[in-house]
Amino acid sequence: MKKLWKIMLGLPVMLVLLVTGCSVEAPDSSTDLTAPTTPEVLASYASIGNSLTAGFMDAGLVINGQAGSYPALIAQQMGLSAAEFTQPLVRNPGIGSSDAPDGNAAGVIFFNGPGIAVLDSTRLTDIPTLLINGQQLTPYHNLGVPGATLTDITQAYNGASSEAASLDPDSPNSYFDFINRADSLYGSHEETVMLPNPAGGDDIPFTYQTASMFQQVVANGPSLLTVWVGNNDVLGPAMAGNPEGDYAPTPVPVFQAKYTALLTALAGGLMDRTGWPTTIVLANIPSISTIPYFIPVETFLFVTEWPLGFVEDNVEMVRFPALSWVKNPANQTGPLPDHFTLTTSEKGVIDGAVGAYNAVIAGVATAIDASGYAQCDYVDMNEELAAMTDTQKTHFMFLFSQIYAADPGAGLTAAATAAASMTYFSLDGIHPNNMGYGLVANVFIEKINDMMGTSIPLVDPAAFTWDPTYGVPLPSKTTLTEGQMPVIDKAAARAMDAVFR
Amino acid sequence: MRKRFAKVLLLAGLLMVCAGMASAAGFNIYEAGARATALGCAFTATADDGSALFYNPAGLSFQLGTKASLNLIEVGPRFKFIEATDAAGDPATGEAAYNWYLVPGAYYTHNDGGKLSYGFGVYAPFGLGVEWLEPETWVGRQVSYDVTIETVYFTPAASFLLKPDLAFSFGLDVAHQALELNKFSLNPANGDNAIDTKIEGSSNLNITPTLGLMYRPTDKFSFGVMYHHKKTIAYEDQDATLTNVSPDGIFGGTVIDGLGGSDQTISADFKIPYILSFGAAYRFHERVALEVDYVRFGWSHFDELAMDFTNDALDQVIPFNYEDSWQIRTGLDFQAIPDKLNLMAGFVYDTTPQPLESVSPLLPDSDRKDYSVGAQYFHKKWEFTMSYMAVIADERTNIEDGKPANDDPAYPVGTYKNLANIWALGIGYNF
Repeated sequence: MKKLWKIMLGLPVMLVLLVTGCSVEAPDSSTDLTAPTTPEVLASYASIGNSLTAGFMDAGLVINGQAGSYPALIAQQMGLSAAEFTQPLVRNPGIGSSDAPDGNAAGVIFFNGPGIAVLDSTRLTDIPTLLINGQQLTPYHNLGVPGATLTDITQAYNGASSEAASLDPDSPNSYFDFINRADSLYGSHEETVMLPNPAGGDDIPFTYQTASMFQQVVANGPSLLTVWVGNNDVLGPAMAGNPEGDYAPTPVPVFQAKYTALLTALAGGLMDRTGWPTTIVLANIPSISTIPYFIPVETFLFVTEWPLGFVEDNVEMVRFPALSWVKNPANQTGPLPDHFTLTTSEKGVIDGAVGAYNAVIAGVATAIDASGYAQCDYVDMNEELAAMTDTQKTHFMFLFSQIYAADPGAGLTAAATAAASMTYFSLDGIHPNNMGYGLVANVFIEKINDMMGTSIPLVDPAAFTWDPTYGVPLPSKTTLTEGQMPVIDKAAARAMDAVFR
Repeated sequence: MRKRFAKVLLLAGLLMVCAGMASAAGFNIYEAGARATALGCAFTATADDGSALFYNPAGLSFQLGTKASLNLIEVGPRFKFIEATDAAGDPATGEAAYNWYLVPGAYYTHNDGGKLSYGFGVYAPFGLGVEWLEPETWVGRQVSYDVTIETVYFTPAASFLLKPDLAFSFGLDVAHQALELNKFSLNPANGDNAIDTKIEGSSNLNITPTLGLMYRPTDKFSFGVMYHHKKTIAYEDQDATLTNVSPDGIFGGTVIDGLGGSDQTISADFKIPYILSFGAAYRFHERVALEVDYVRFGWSHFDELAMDFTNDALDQVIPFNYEDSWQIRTGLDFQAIPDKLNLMAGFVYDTTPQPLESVSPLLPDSDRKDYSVGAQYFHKKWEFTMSYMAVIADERTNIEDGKPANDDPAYPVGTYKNLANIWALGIGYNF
């Protein structure tokens, strides 16, 4: 009994001594997590880019084009629902240029029989009513902002902070206002992080706005990301018509620095956000020779029979809106102004920039992939689009004119329908139409399948329908009176032009 | 005597005001008295002090006299967390504040030797308190950075001596609960804290029955059964406050404006499980007794917390999907100096009701092993008890088959580790 007594007396004392200072040790970090499986990677997709990524079509952003944007098609082919891949959808008549004659925002342009005109316009204050899901609290998965430059991707959060505003304060890129939504929803402030230096040595500071496209795509944390950026760094100067002057392409070293920093930050930011390397597919930049907005001078002279020459010598390409300008009798008094034309030298500047940019993109893809922060590769969109048939690269108006001239008796509708099924570009001459975006989607899907060993089905571009009339009935009788080319409405020409500047 | 009794009740009332809660398995707190705590709460078949009102009110039939007791039980839970390692490395960590929560246990019992004895008690058998440090950066702040739940039972009960060795009791658990939950909502575009949400609630009173049975066939054996019925505690039109904390001032403000302002009201039903305990005690020496209890908790009742706001856009259902759980409690009671000093020790094996997907900053629960010791000193009409219990919880990692057990990205993925230090002091007076 005495023994038991001693044990019972001693035990609690010992236990008290043992546990009085009981503290919890920090646990070890578990290493049980496994990398996402291929189906999991495909279940989380986002895209970043400019108008081409946004599904911009017919000089505007409207649901007709957005529903068939290449990111939307990729998402659809991967089995993602509309809720799993969201876009800033815009109701008809869409949002094109804010340079409409009445000061309102022009909608898309459309084919009305006599020519191309603006479908409708919307008062600037009423633009929010066009936004189908403007109240969505989370960032859109498709962060394609028309007109976005490389600088914009990290620095722009509203129109006023866009690079367009820095070039012309009266022409901010207002797409940032309703896609990035800094002023109406998120707010924005500057942040700086240190990025690894691809060349070795000290880390490099990387500064971005918290409501920028960059931050929003990182916030979404996709495991699969497509990136098609940089086009506007060369396209804008090309469309201004004077790439050797004040509005030159972004210098290659600057492009290289910005593109490298952006991709390094995207790969690192997404790795940090999701915990695993992201699969990133880049696309390079198509040549302006591929797109029907830039018309070979021979073709321009053939269709317009323009007799007054050009301000510049050695003109090689003419911008599409010149077709409207030359129709105005008031303009038929002198040579075509230089902002409508690209000389051989100017086109050489553009082509040189495109080639250099594409070399940068290929190199960055290799470097990012080697870094381990992402599985990264790129698609040669320049080559893929150049490989389209001549018909697919021909503007609707030329096809229409040829078809209509061959058989006027069939009527406008028949000619328009036939032409619309043949070209892969929309009326603005730069952006693909529904079939063209299908082709672009397939280029990406093939690369994704190649990188991931998947068999995501391709789309059938020929099965898509593009309606350049936007449902507006064409006149039953032809009103074409001036040769074989329909008239491009001045407002439409402005809309085609202004949006890209 | 009345004066002393009044003082005891006054002190008990004051304690109710400052009562806080902490966690045991699930969020049950089964330490309702200092003596029971020392015995590992293996008390269903013993139930020989005021805390019988919780452990088994039928024990009142075997306690002669009039007694008042006050128990001050300090519970100090400690939580730590570390994120799982992924390819990005640099896992985040978190630690909860080492707060002490005071759990009350105040009892009054009367047994004049007749067939009917009675008593009432105030105690807090369910509660929770987890306050994570550095809340603005705590990785689980979207779920909770500070939560307290306090459930106070007032139990009046009567025990009937059916036979000299058999008693049956019936009582009512009159419960009130207070809840506070604080969490952040983030700006989805950049991860900044945007809205600080505070939900504060005081429930309606809830009344359910409690039953007990005690059988003491010999001086050596005692058997007990206890049952507290499950509860669904209603909150009606309580306060929820949304505060805009966006660095840019826009996102939080826009969302709050869209919801109709900072001040919202909320209604909810909070579910409490039943407790069913079977105990057997054996006095294998005239001065030494051992009790073993099997306790069953009906945690499957706690399936979700549906929060119904006046603004439907705020409505939220937090799934818990708890499962019924059980405990084995053992307690050894040694009369070191008869009628003067008791020494006690206990051990509890406590299984968690929490499925892996519900492991969260609200309550990272796991199986536990509890070790307890204590001493009880008798002086004239007074009883003084002091006890200590260490609640040692298993580490728990909310990863299943290589993937987060909960695919809600607000739930941090990693390993939680916790324990609790419990000190209890009891003062009893025999009138």
